[in-house]
Amino acid sequence: MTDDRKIWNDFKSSKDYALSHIYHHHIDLLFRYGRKFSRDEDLIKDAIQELFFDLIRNRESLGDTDNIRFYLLKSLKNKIIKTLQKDQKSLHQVTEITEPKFSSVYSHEEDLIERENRERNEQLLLKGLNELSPRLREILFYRFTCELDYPEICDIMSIRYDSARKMVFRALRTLREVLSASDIMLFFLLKSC
Amino acid sequence: MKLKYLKYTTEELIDNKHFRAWILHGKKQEKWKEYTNQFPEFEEKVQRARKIILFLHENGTNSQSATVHELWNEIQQYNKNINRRKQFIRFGGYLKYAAVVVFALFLAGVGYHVLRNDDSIYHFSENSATQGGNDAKLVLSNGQHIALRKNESSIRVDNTDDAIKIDNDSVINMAQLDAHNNGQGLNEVTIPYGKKSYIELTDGTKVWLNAGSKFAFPTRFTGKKRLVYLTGEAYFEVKHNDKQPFEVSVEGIIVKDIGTRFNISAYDSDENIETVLLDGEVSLKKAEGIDLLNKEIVMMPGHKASFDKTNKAFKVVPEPNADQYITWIHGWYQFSGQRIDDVFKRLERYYNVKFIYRRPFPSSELIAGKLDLKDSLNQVLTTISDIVPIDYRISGNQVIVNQKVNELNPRN
Repeated sequence: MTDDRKIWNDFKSSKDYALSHIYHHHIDLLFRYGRKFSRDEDLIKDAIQELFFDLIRNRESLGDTDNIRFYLLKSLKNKIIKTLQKDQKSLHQVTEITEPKFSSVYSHEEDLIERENRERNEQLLLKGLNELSPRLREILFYRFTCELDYPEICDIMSIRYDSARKMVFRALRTLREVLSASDIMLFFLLKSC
Repeated sequence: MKLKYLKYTTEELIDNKHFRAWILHGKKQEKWKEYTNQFPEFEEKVQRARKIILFLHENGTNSQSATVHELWNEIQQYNKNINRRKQFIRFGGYLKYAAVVVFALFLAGVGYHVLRNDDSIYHFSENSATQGGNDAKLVLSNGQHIALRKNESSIRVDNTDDAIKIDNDSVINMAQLDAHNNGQGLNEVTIPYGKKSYIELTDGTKVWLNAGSKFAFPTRFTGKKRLVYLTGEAYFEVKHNDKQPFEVSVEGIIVKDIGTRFNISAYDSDENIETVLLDGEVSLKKAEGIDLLNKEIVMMPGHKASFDKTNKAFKVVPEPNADQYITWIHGWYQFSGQRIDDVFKRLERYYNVKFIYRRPFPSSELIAGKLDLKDSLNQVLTTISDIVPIDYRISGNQVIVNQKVNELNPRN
């Protein structure tokens, strides 16, 4: 995380590479994160833009951070919530993930069987994910997509440490069960071939 | 690694930072593999955990690259505007030219040639001679070729001895050279990849010429200004002279010194011409075009000006690491926040090799560091592969680079 501290400080002292680095390293995640709150792409884009404008305008007076990702996520959440509240929409009313596309860099090199296997797994896991409550999906996103620490998750979700851990493990168990069930099925399928 | 991991449940593995670091980034691969090879039950858990980790890590739709790009442009523009307000770079105002534009554009059709600035028109004798295989040489204004045999040759135009000296041997008598073409012709230095050169001009100005560059200069400066030409990269320490300004003409722009140390990088293969000012003051302008519209940009020390060759536009930004841009004259190369493919582009010039990328390559990854160019290419690449996940193989003058393959990483 010391890298983050350096880049953040470079950004504060107006080095342009730092802005570019921060933007391009986190933009995908920020968009994905934004979509958890709203399907309105323009709203998300505006919120992200405003977030970066704020950063640039106030760069000298920004606080320190050694986790830029967390800093950005938290700021974006605040921005989006503010906008949504203004629009009289409540948070989590419209949530997330309809049909994720799993594009992969390696896809053209995989052979067909491998890809089918992977896609099957992903379909299963997606089904499992959709069975979870929005809150559980949110925590999985923080923990495994954003790789946040528990203290950071507690901060951003306003929950306590032990409940954060409990939620993560409950969500993971569901996903694991979905997979194991299918492994058994596959086993029988292969046997009957 | 600790044996306790063997007792972990799938969920505990997924939630473990070190385990994820292995799955996602290949950290401590060998040690984990030892366990999976030894304990089949553990391996089963690992496989399941891996699927879930990869799924959650990738989860979500990818953003539309067009939107990302568009947004970036807006942010960059905003950043520029804010910076401009804060910077003390003197830009000529836009508005005062607005009235002239219509008139001038009309003129452009009619009198284009009359108003063009002719300083930009110089063609180096061989256009693509900077590629590998060529020898370093000096071509005198009378057409005589002189081979530069050393890897770092020096050329001095010595006024007191009235001679051009190469590596401290007196070679060319200037009076003879002048007699040949009235002192009007230019001498041309060509430095291929893998070599460097140092040139001292007749006015005492010092020029360090980097690999893959060409430089043209007169034996004596007789006109109103001291005009030299460059492609490639050079670092200048100019002897200032108010009455006879020093100008470098580089592919479409002119850099004019006002008493200075500066570095210009203008390789054909690069999209931008970069001028970094260390001391003093330089002004920049486009060489072509109509003088009326041709704003002169004055740079302050510690700034970098990039001239976009396609859009023909300047961008000036503060460059706190200005010193790093001239480390090459001392035989090392220092950079921070540099794209890895830009770093490789440089190495291609220094070592006269060609990089070939296989498979998805993290070319936009930013790296920082310091490389000793006196080291062998192999040593330099080993250093780089310590910080970036790449594998490389040198074969002849080709370097084949791959993203490091993590045996377990490609999903199945």
